[in-house]
Amino acid sequence: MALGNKLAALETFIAAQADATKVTATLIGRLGGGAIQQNWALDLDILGGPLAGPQPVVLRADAPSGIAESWGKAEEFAILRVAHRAGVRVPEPLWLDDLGGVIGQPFHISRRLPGSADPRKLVRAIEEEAGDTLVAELGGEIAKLHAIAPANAPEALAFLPKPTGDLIVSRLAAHRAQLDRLPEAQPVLEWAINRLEDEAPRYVRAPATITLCHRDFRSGNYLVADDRLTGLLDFEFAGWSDPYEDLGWFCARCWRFGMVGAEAGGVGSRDAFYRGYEAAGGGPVDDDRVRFWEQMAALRWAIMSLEQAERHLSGRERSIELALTGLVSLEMEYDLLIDLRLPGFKPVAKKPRAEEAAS
Amino acid sequence: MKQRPGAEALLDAALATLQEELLPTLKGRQKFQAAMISRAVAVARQEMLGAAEAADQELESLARLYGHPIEGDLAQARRQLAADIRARKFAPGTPAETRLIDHLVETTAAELRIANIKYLAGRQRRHGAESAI
Repeated sequence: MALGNKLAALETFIAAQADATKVTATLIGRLGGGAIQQNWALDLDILGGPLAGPQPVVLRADAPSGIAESWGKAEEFAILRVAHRAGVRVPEPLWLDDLGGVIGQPFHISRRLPGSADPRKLVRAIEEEAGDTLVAELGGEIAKLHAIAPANAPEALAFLPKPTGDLIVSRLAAHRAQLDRLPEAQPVLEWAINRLEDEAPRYVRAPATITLCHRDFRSGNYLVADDRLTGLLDFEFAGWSDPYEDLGWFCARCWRFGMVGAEAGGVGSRDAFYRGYEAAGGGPVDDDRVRFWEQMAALRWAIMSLEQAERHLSGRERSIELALTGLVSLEMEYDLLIDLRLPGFKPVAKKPRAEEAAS
Repeated sequence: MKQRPGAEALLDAALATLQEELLPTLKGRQKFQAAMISRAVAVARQEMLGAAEAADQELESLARLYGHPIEGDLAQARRQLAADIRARKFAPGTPAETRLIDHLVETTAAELRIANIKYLAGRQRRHGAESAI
């Protein structure tokens, strides 16, 4: 999509939404992290109305072919508003065009927060102490999101389906169905699903307390400026779930970007992350349960990466990035084959952080 | 004497130009795209050199797992294996499951050797060779 020649239509739309007399939009450029979404940075100059003045914003639109699991723009906008009102650090959602009439596809606009989301740079640059501070902040923010439960949720979230029955059983059944929709059989992932089904009772000893979950909470999906968290991003997968799904996704080996010794997101220690979560009212963290969901994370990301490659291979959306993502599933398959057989899903050998960085 | 460059020589030449001359001059999204092209070509090169052998080995390994030669192609054999796993034909803790896991580890390692040998080497450094786990 070329946004450059849609700016006039966009300015008119924003002026109407913002009760402004005139809006000038300057396109700064496309932001990274867009395998599923397309994000553009824009600088607005607003004349009149409550938001008068310069406003740096981000316009977020769907990529040509989304993946089935992700929400459309209207739903993501609703989730973002609920999170923002609950005091979770997120970009403030401003305006939504759900119909696609303005620029040719649905989008929403939110305030642009400072910072970078690049996970590879972050995990390599951040020092140990700053990393622990950052993951504690992240634990605290996600705990605030997890304070939103179906019982106290605003009507705006009524579209989110409520899980019924055993969450893990239904997740694994859904993963088998996803595998059935892929053109090639996946023996390793079939084995991993069986193993997770068998091991679940040992690690997950109580039914889930369902809360609002981000469901893609990991390094790369939050902004950091000067080693501090400025906001959580990318709510397109959010839904009701076991909050341990978020904690496990964050700590999963596949989201440490090579810094496997920094078990919380490749950034900080597991302890610091858990402490931040607990301090913000997230309740005592059950380590076994997090580790179980870390293995669920490897399985889910393996399947998602195969689905992303299929978007390219099927011809729906030609993209070298999507094609290469398909290769990543092999890493998780190998990890699952090793890690699902480790007692407690815990690695035996530990190496100091510096050595991990060099490898 | 070979007069024309073969597929491997052509890919090597393309990769060298891309990595040594083009990539250092690029910035931002173009650099990212060129890096993706470089990776795609490098994996395709490994695939070209090693995929046939890996497929033969996987079929041999499947024959050992099932105790008889495998009829049909690899894709079909994998479908059968996936169906057998889902049908729980390899019960947990049995020698059959141990043989299954050996097969899966071996074939996944062979695929990783083509797609991302650095990742494979990193995991093996931490946990020993796959057969030793």
